[in-house]
Amino acid sequence: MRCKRVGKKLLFYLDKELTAKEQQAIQSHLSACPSCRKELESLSTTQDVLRLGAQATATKVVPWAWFELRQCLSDLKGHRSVRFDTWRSRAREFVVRNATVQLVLGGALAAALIIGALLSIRELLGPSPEALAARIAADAPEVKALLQGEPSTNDTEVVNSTGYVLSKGPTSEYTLTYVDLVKETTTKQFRLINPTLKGEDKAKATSILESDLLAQRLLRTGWVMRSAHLMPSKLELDVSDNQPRVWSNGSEAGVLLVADEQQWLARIDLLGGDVLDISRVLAPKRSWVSVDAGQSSDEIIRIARSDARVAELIDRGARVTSVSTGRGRMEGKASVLLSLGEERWIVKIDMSDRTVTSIYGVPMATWDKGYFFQPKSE
Amino acid sequence: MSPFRRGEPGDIEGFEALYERHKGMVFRTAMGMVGDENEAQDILQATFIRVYESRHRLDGDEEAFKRWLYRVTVNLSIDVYRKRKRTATLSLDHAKSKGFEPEAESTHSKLEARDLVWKALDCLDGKHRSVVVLKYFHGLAYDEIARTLNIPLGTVRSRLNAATRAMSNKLSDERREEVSDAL
Repeated sequence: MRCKRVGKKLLFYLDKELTAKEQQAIQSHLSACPSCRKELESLSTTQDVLRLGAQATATKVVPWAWFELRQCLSDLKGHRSVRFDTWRSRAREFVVRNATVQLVLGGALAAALIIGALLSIRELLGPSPEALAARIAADAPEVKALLQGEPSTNDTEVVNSTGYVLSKGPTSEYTLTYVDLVKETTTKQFRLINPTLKGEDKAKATSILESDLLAQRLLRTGWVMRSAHLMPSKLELDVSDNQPRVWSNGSEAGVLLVADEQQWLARIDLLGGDVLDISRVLAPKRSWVSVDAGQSSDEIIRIARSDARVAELIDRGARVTSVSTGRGRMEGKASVLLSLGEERWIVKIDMSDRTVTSIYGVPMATWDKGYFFQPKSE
Repeated sequence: MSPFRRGEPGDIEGFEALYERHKGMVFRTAMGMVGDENEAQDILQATFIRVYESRHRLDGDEEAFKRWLYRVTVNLSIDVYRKRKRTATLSLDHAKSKGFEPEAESTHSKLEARDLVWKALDCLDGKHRSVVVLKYFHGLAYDEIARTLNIPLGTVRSRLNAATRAMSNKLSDERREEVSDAL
């Protein structure tokens, strides 16, 4: 089969809308044709984007839509004669037409309001803005996705019509969500990345961990200490000057121990000098994995450098911050993160033909010494 | 039996139940077609007014009713879409302002995918857009799309192929990779 004919059928191949014979013929063509494979991947990515975008599309109908529709129907010429003959509409009609009933009901409502106000004005007015913001953030699928599980609210602040909600996920990750209280939607969410421990703090955390029996056993059997972070054991949200900041008390560290695909997290009390616990981390399913220093990362960096734009950035003083290779669907791809001052670039590499496929800049959130987090102003 | 189910045609409780059952599907279709919440709400309203007006002609086949409902929603959306295309100066600026948030690190990829999808769908006309919406927003199979829109299966195939390719070209910049990384 020729590429042109195959190209016309690739979408149907992906959707399994071909006969078994055709499916087989395309498959054997693909195994021998890199350019058709590339086209297939491009179509498949488009489908993924479409499905993901469709999922993220608002599907919530506003609660008052039904009442507007009712109003429209009764306003339409010819529908005035339509009788919605139910006990509810009859009751409504009765109330509307009968001034005495209105008066009595109005009086009863006023009395209920006064009593309600005396008892608890809050319950009558519905949830507080803070509670509303917390509920919107807790229900938002994008927050759940960032935290990879059900969020629990840690702290909430409201300034005017914007709510700031600090949520904690099941794996102790935190997000800061901005909530528009008028539209009742989230407008932005940030994942709070735990600040890295450096210097003396890191040495202290490491020495405490090395004194722990379980850690010693793990380290003896080939486990290595990967990263040491300040753990946000107690975070507080501060929205003075309309600038949300998240403060950490900074007394707890987390050190990641890794071997093959497994990860364990040791929580360390830096002030008390104890290991609090060591527990298995269920690694999130990611398409990219970082590469350790060594031949494979050297090779990736060499390919990146062969691109004139990357070479220029490195000449300007950019450093290679991390190197990753793809896994699963992203097999055969690699990426290199370059940083220069506040600027970051991602370099994407196709390992099959050893070329740089794209380079683009990534804006970074502003951090100050890692002890508090301050999102960029809008 | 009428899809209104309860009582005689015109029974408002039966109509409300019908609205509750199908409003999500209608709204989702309209959102996919026009990409604007306010317009989608208007289409939802217009669709159910059409349902109410046609209540005497609807029989009890729920599946046939659903197909008809999709068709009405799609057609009303195409009208809105065409009108908007004719007065596009304003909405182009609007589309630009819906662009990417600056925080690539922190905004979730689903939201980026949503923005990308609007950009990609923008290059399609109503006919192509409707097959894409039924397939990707509702997960309908090719033959279901053909029956729903009352068009031959071959037309569904060619429209889907042309639409997916056009969108694939539109998306072929680095942003697409950024999203696929996070999938």
